[in-house]
Amino acid sequence: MLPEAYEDRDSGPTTGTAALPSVGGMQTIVRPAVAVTDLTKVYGTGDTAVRALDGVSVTFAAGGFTAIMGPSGSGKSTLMHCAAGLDTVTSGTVQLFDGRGEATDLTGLGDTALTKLRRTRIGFVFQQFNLLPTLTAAQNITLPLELAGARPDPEWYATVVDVLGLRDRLGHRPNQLSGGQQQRVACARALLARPDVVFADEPTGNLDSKTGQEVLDFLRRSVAELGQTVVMVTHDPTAAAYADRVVLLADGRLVDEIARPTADSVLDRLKRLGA
Amino acid sequence: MIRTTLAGLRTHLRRLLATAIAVVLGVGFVAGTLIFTATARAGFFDTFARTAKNVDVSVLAGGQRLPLADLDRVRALAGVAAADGRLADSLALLDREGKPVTNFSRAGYAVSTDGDPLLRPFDVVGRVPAGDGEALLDKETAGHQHLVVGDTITVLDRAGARHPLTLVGLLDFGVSKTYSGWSVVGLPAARIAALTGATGYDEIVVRAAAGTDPGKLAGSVRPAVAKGAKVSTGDKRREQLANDATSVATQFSIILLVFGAVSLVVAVFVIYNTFAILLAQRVRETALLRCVGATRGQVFGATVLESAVVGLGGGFLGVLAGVGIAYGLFALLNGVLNAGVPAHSIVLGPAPVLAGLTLGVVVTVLAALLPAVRATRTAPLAALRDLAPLTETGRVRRIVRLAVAVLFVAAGAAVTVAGHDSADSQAGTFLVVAGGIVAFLGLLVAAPLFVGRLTAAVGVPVRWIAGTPARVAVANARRNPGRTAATTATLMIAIGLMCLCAVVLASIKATARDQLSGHYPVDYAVTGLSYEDGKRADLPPEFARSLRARPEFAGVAEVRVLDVRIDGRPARIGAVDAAALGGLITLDMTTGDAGALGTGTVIIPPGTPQPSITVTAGGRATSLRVVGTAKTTIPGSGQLAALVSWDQLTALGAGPADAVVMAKAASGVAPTASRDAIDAVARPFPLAQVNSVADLSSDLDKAVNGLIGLFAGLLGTAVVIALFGVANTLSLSVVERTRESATLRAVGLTRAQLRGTLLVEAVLMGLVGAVVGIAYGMIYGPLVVATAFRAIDPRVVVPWAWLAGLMALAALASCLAAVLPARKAASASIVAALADV
Ligand SMILES: Nc1ncnc2c1ncn2[C@@H]1O[C@H](COP(=O)(O)OP(=O)(O)OP(=O)(O)O)[C@@H](O)[C@H]1O
Ligand SMILES: [Mg+2]
Repeated sequence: MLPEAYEDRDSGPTTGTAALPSVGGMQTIVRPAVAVTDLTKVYGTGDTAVRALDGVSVTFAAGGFTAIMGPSGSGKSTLMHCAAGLDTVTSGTVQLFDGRGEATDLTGLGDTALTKLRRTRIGFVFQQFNLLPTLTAAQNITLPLELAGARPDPEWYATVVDVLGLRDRLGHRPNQLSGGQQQRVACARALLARPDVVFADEPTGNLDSKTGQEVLDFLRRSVAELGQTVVMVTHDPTAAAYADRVVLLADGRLVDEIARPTADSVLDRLKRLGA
Repeated sequence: MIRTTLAGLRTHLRRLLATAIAVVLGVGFVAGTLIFTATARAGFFDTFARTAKNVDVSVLAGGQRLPLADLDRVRALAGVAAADGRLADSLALLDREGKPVTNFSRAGYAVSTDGDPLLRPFDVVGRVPAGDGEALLDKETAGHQHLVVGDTITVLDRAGARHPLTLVGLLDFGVSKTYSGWSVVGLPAARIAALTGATGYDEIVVRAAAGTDPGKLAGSVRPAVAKGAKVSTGDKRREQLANDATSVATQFSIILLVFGAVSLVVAVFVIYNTFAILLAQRVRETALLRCVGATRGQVFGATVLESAVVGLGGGFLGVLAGVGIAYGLFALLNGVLNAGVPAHSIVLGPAPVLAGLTLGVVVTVLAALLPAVRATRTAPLAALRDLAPLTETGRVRRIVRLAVAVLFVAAGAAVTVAGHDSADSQAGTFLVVAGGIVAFLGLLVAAPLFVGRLTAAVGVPVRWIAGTPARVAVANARRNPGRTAATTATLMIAIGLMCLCAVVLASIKATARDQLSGHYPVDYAVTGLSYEDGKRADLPPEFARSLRARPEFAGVAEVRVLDVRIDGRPARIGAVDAAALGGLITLDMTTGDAGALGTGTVIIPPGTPQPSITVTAGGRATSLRVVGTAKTTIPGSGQLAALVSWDQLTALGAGPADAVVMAKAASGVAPTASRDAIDAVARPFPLAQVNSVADLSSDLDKAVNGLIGLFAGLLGTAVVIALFGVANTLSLSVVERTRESATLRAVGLTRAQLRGTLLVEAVLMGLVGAVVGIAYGMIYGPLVVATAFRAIDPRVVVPWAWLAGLMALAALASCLAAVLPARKAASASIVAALADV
């Protein structure tokens, strides 16, 4: 099954990001951002135990855009949550690498240490946007850094805000923003601290296709132009085509991988998976 | 629909718990008061029934005691089996050290023991006194003075002479608390008359011969007794005694019911808030019901039914709690206030039970009415919306609210000012309080408008200390001003009242202390023993003379008083001896010159300026020219209506006896040495009561602090309910913000910080409530003091330490209220909470 994945190596993205240089190619030896080894996650005990992840090993390259796909209930969200240190693992390790290549084993960290690490080293984009309704867009964006007691780099802040087109929306509260704008605020929040990795769980799931594309474009650009690492869970083959690599999950196991995916190749592979 | 409601109740039971507790506490207080009143009434009834046991006709003295001859005339009437005169008067009993046995600085009593054993209001253990040298003593006093039959006791006559008596028996008053706490010596009426100067009887009681109708007998008794005496049958007398008892108990219960009402009002806010929040959270559920065909009426009915069930349950538990509270009230009133409420087993009639259940249901349903009406406005479409938009109140509604609030505050202020300026201090106080309530209502109406900004202001220092989590907390506390306002309103009420009480009581304390020492530099104020009717024994001038001879004292001042009429009204005037005036005692003149005080002149308190006053003493009217105004308060005798010169007082007819002797210790003499010296001087004068000013003011402090504690205790229920309200609002908010909290945790808020944000939010609410409450109390406390005590020129004191404590308490207690919700929020798993819709 695996060798087939390499056939698609040369088929580039079919959508508007073609002009961007690809940094995540398989030929290049790249530094890892997150390495997951033998990850198992079991929910519950006894008869009701659910093996959501069953010995998953995967590495997300620094500066790469990876999409995680698979049928519903295959463990995509679980993998993401464990890799992001939001959830505990049953066994296995999750290593997060900083810019100098130094690894931190997330599975060995306590809750407070994990929380502090999430402030600056991991960014999140959720399907439901999850902005704080009481804070303005600007306050939402700077929240993680403020919690870390750090000041955002003004230049970088300006870049992120401008790239996302949020300049004239900064003083608004989330309920005064459209869904797409809210998700762009969430993206800005995730990127402002220049984290080692950004995790996005179905970021376009609640958006129409046009605004969804805008968000995906931005994620793509942040990888290509800003050197960001992005890991995205999605059900949508078109969305997956923005990534430079797709990993496929089924029944808690890594079953396939597509480099330089296109919407068609992804759809094809998913069909073969029986999804 | 009913099934849906009950199913909903079961699932939401935990969220309704705080509401139920608020109902239980509010109802409990009221039911407890009613149970207490019924029980106290029963106790009083027993007491007074004993007093009139076997009495068929009773003759009560009017203004003056019944002449001795009346008894003989009554005894001679046909149909009288027995008749007795009852006499009671103050009589000082000496303890083993030779000092009078007192209770609340007052001497005890003597009661007459002669006559028909069946008509006595007490039982006698032993025998009644046969001669002049014998006496009875009440059981309790005999117990704590370690006296037994056969011992000798000593009593003092009004002149201070000692009279030894042999104890031949004990008095047992049973459950009666008439003399509770005081010593009671039983003596033949004639002996009491000889010792106290009291002649005649307070009451004549008659037992009818067999077959004589008490009503007819009463008719024949009436012409035989002095005019003005009240003749009634025994049954009437018993009924009247019971009514008196009821009025005593009713006085307590009215005060208590006021506090109960406060608790209930606070409870209403908590209940209202709970339902408002619950229904807001249930919008989706309600809309779904509407989608599938529930009518508005059904939605409304469901909410009302739900609140009625909660109210009934809370009311039932409240009645149970009331029984406990009734016990507590007995302990409180008898223990702290020495109210002497007779003990009786708890009386639980149908009235408190019905009242408790009704109150529970009515209060809860009323509080839930507005949220229920709001719920009916839920559009079926709301079921399809993802997130409820943040509540932004419309401009028009805000303006209407503001207008209503301004109207209330303005009306309240106008009434208050009218009360403050009114000539009648009592009516004025009533107006001030009424205006205060109206203004406070305005404040509550306005609360949603200012509570956000106030929270932000209070939050500024908190944000400095706690950083970003505090900012989140401030934002959360501000996000729903209506909810925050309703939550903090409870604290505003409770703490506002506490602050008001604290200001009033502290001012009373300061004013009373002024009255005590009158700003005079004295260490001791010696007075004569006080008797029941407010009269006092005089001090012979020899006492002051012996005191002057002691080297331990640098100065001694004698004060004499005389009861006169000033411009027709009864008043007490006084004079300080010439040697002390201007020396030890310097008058604090507001206007005029103390040196001008002499024959034909007078000094009066400031207030109503007058060129002269007319003093009538012994039937003679004397016009005195006013030469100045000054505070006329003298330690030990309180405020006097006027001060005259020593010679002028003698000329007006004052005898050679001192009302107060003040003494200042010489410098370098230790307090213990001066106390020993003054006690030694006082030993031959058993009627002299030596008070050190330090003792008096510490007694006063104790008394006032006790009162503050009592009010704090009574208002405590309201505070506790308010805190349940805070906890309730928070825990409901926590439920509502599950996903938000998870997001915060995901982007880097630690568990401790999340707990912190909730604690900060609670503290902010506590502080906002406290700030508003204290501000209110600081405005209205002084107004009440100034109006109610205008006659004695009160000192207004703000007890800063108390208020700081109140503030800290509010913060701390709300922190405590947040502990559980905070723990719940922090313990939630991020991933699970993120999935929450
Ligand atoms: N808290 C939990 N308790 C028990 N089982 C769980 C829990 N969370 C997830 N699971 C189970 O683990 C498996 C993987 O769930 P996960 O949410 O990772 O799937 P997913 O691939 O993200 O699905 P979807 O595409 O529907 O979001 C599923 O079978 C799910 O039922
Ligand atoms: Mg998922």
